[in-house]
Amino acid sequence: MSELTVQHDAHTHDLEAISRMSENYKFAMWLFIASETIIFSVFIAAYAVFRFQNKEIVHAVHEALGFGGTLIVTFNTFLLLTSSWAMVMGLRSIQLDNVKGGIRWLSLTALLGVIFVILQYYEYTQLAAKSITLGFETDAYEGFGMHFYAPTAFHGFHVIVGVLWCLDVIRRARKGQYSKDNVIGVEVFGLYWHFVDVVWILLFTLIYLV
Amino acid sequence: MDYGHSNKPAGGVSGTLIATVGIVAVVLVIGGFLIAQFTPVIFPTQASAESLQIDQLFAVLLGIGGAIFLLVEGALLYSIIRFRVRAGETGDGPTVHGFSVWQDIRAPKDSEMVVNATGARFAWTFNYDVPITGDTLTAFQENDRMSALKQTDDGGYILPVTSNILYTYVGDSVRMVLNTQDVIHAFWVPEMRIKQDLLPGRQTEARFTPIAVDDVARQRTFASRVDNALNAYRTNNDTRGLNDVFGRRAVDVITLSNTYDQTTFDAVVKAVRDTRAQYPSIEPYTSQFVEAARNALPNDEIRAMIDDPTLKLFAETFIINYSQYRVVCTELCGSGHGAMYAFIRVYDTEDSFLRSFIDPALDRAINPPDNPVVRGAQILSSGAYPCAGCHVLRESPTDEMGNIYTIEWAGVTGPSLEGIADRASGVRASATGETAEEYLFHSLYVPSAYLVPGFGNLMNNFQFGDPTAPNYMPIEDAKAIVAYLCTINDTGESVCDLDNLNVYAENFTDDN
Amino acid sequence: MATAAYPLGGIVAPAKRPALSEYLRWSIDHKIIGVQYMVTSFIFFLIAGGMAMLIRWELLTPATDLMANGSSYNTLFTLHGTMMIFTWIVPMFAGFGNYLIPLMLGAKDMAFPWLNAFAFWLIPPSGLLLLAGYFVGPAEAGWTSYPPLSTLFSPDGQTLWALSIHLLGLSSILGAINFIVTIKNMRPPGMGWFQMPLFVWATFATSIIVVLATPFLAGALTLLILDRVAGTTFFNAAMGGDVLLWQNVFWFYSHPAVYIMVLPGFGILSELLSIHSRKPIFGYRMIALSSLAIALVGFTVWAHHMFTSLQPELRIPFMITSFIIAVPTGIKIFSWLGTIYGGKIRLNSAMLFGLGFLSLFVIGGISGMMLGSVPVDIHMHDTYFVVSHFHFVLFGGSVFAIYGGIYHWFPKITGRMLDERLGKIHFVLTYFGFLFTFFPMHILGMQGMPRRVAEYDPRFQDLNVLVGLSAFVLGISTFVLVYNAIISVYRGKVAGANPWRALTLEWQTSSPPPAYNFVGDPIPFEDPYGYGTEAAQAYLAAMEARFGPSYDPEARNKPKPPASISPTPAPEPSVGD
Repeated sequence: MSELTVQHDAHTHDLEAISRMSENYKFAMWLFIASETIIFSVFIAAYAVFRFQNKEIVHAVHEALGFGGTLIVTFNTFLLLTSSWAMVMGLRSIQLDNVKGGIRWLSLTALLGVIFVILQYYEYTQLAAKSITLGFETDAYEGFGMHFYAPTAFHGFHVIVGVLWCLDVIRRARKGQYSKDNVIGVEVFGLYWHFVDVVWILLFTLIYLV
Repeated sequence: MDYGHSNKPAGGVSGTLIATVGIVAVVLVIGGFLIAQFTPVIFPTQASAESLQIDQLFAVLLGIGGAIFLLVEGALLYSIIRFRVRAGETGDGPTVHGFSVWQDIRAPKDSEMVVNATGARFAWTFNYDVPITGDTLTAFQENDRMSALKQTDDGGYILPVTSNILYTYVGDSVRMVLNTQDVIHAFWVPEMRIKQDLLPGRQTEARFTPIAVDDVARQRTFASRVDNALNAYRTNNDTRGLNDVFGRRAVDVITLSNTYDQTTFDAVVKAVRDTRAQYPSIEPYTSQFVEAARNALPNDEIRAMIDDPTLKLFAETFIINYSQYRVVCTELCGSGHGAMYAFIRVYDTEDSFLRSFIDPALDRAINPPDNPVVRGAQILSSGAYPCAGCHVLRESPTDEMGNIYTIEWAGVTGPSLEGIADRASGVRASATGETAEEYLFHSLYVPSAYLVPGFGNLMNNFQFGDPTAPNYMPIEDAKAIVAYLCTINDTGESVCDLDNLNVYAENFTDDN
Repeated sequence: MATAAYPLGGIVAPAKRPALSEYLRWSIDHKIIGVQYMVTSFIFFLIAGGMAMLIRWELLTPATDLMANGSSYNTLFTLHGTMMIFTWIVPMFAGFGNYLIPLMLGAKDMAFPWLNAFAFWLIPPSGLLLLAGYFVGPAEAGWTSYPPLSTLFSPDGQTLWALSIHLLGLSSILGAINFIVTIKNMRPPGMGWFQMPLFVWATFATSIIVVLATPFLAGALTLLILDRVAGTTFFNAAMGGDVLLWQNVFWFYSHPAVYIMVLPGFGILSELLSIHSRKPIFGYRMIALSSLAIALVGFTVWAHHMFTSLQPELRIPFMITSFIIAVPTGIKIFSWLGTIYGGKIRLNSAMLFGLGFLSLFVIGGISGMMLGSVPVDIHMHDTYFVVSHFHFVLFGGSVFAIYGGIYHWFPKITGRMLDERLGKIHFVLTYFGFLFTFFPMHILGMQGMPRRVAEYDPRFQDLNVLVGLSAFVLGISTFVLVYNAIISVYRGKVAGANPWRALTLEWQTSSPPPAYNFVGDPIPFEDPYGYGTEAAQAYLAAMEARFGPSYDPEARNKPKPPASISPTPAPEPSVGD
């Protein structure tokens, strides 16, 4: 009978346990991101099919929005990219044992996320003013509205959740929960935030650039 | 180290093993083959050309499946019996760690009969565009009935004929063009082995070619139904069976039965049936058949009593010359899904198809009866509109010419129309402020204007603006239907003022 | 180290069981959660089964007489199907997985215990939400919910239905993430991928499907809900939408979903057949890898549910992929036959249900192959032939596996054996009740009876009566198990740690296991299916020494020990030696 000498108890905070738990959490987040990717793909595919079957309608929408409309969205993309960069910087700070610096960077992430949401809301009002609505009956562009709002609103919801999560990460950082040896909470949040960013880039490209 | 290894026996494969495998293989093949023979038992009649190939394919699959079934279940049973632990055994087991039937049945044929089928909750409507040329066209012109015809793009004329029964004949290549008015339905005829979904926003198609079926069995079934119906009439004066079996022709049967004594009657019926058994491919309408039937009569006395036209009438009436199957909806479409079926009637020859379906339709179009009540009965019994899917009405009215119009509606979703005349002039009139005929007419085109309490707004909106739409009902038809419905009460007296109806109809602007 | 929890020299009492109240409230112990899943699912099974009884009662006559109208009937099979799939089979297997996976892997709990509890507690409210439809007009568009019937012609209960499935799907995904991480990262040292029990493999493959397929359903349901409440027209052909969009996205999930519902059953079967024939699993690697193959190929066949609405040119490719998926399944079946062949088969209740699975699932597989063939499917689509096929694989398959699993693991979970005589009665009633209920449906379908109808052509009545009466027998048979379970919990024979003398890790601890599953380190045997070797005998003997003797189901078969312990005299030499 082989003897196993090392006691594995998940309730002691030794390094090996934390490292294994980190693996678990990160892997779990990747799996979650996989499933989120798929649900986004349903909405994105619906939009793509509509877009390629109704080129004139999409063209008309782009014209109606004009340069101003596209400007806001482009700025929003820049915001989100910057927020991801801020998030990476925050993680790096904490890994270098500078928790206070990390909190500052993460606060910037959250702030940029909030501005993103506000500007997206503003853009929605602009679209509504041009009669681009969710419901078909009131939509001046024969269905563009619903195909547009489904993926973008779903994404916006994910940004809001992300901001709230970011605030929670900041709260825990201030309570001293993270250190250079224990950043798993921040890393997992980071994965989620990057995912949200990547989805936005995809949406932005598909809806506004193509 | 993994644990998927197996212990191979030392040395080569033994002769016993080969023999065992060989015997098992033979048993499986024979077993599979025998199981495949069940195919005709479990499938319904093969009534289309397609069904022959499909049944063959199924037989192959059943044979393979049967062989697999025998193999797996056999191995299972063998193991359970042979390797069951015996009393007193406590040990473990040995450590052995240890894959032109397909034909293109959708190729379009050269000449096809196109039938437009519309599925709506919960009834089927079949539309035929009958080309009108030559003498028939002249007849329409002479009778001033050109308004009943539509013009095609190349200047020809067609008569749109609508029916609740799908008529066709053996050898006819049918192309169904399928449209739905509301939800997804599916068109299925089990005996034809064809099925196709009806999808909103799309037009779909299905093709089949009916083939001849076993006539002996068919005649036998028909004969027993006829005999039961005659029996009921003779013993109890009950004509319901006769109406069920013969429909409009029940009056012919009753007349014949009253004209001849029972012995003669039965003898003639037997003669035509025997002749049919001997000559299954000759139409009962031909002189050949009549002559053979005459020879089959039992004695000269009867021969003298029955002239050729009468003999022909017996033949036409007591030999069934069509096969009838159900058309079933197989895509859940709501509460009436199970009730959404129609019939397909396959005549033996094109000639009988024309005689039984096309000619009467032409006749109705060229010579519509003057009496609107009769005309209404005619329209409703012809199945031109899909009322049968939702309403209850059981009538066999007879017109002054002795024609019976059998209306056998047993729908589930709409209010019953039994006794509608009294309700229309009574309680509905007071509820709507309209007269009986106005209420009925209004309800045909705008059913939502007044919903009978307890029923939903589910009825088709008929309209008279667009003749090409499936829900087209010309005003003349609507007036006739109303005129007829006005007589649905105990006395049969009309409760309506038909002049008022004409005025109302003229001023009617439907807000569909 | 022996403690008072493991009395040596005889079973006195079962190990301490959690109190009933612990099962009724939030707990992050996977064993409690596992039982919560199983009992909750079983309750929904009984409710959905009751609906099935109403369906068969209605169908005893050709007319619609039991139900008020077609809509009420349509609700019955809608909720029956939805509940059986989403609140019975899927969570029941999740319950087995939850209970067994950490034990089989020698772990103390799942990777994310809190998430585990959260995933479970989504289920009871979702089930109630589904049934709450009865207050607003229940869902009636079938579990497949095709628009426009489900968007434009159905009452509010259809929205509740969609929300309920959303929550159930979320629960399923969270559970699957938990399983994947646990299985990948929490195996004990020495247990590589190809030393895991096959039930673990099965759960792993299933969880992969859940994570990748369920979100498609979530997307489709979201669009459906928007169409119903927000005025969108994704599925409205008259306004720029497409009904086939729903069918394609729905079936893209729902076909892999059937593998979610059957792969864990395959896993249970591997355990049952090996242990109760006391023989190694034949073709371990093949079975393990074929589970992954099925998971993968399962994503390529979805449009075989749509042969009659698909463009005709697309039919053949899906027919081909549908035939391909028969291959890994066939490999499994022949591996299982190879497992029992030559073994020492014990025909206890667990094994009977396992063998029943094998015999019935094969029939379902054969009828599935027929349905995969396009011309035949054109005739049989949406008929009772299809109803028969999926009940053979889901009831004859998955439910039989569940029953077998219950008889097999009940001793581990409760510390008591289920009564064998009642178990055999349960088996006989279930097997034959099932066979006579569902086999005739093949014929009904081929003869012309469509699905989802309350009224039918009177010529089908005789077969429907046979089906209905058999169904009532099948329904009653369920209560034999319920009764057995209830009395056995309190008065069943005490089981001990390992009544089946099995080699997998869950049996190498007390019944039920202690709070953290194992006292000290769990010691896996080198081969979870290594029956028949001396090493296995030695391992089992060592475990018995550690945990005390267990109930021996074969005690009656064994020769009795001699009454006295005095030495037997030497035998007389016989003449002619």
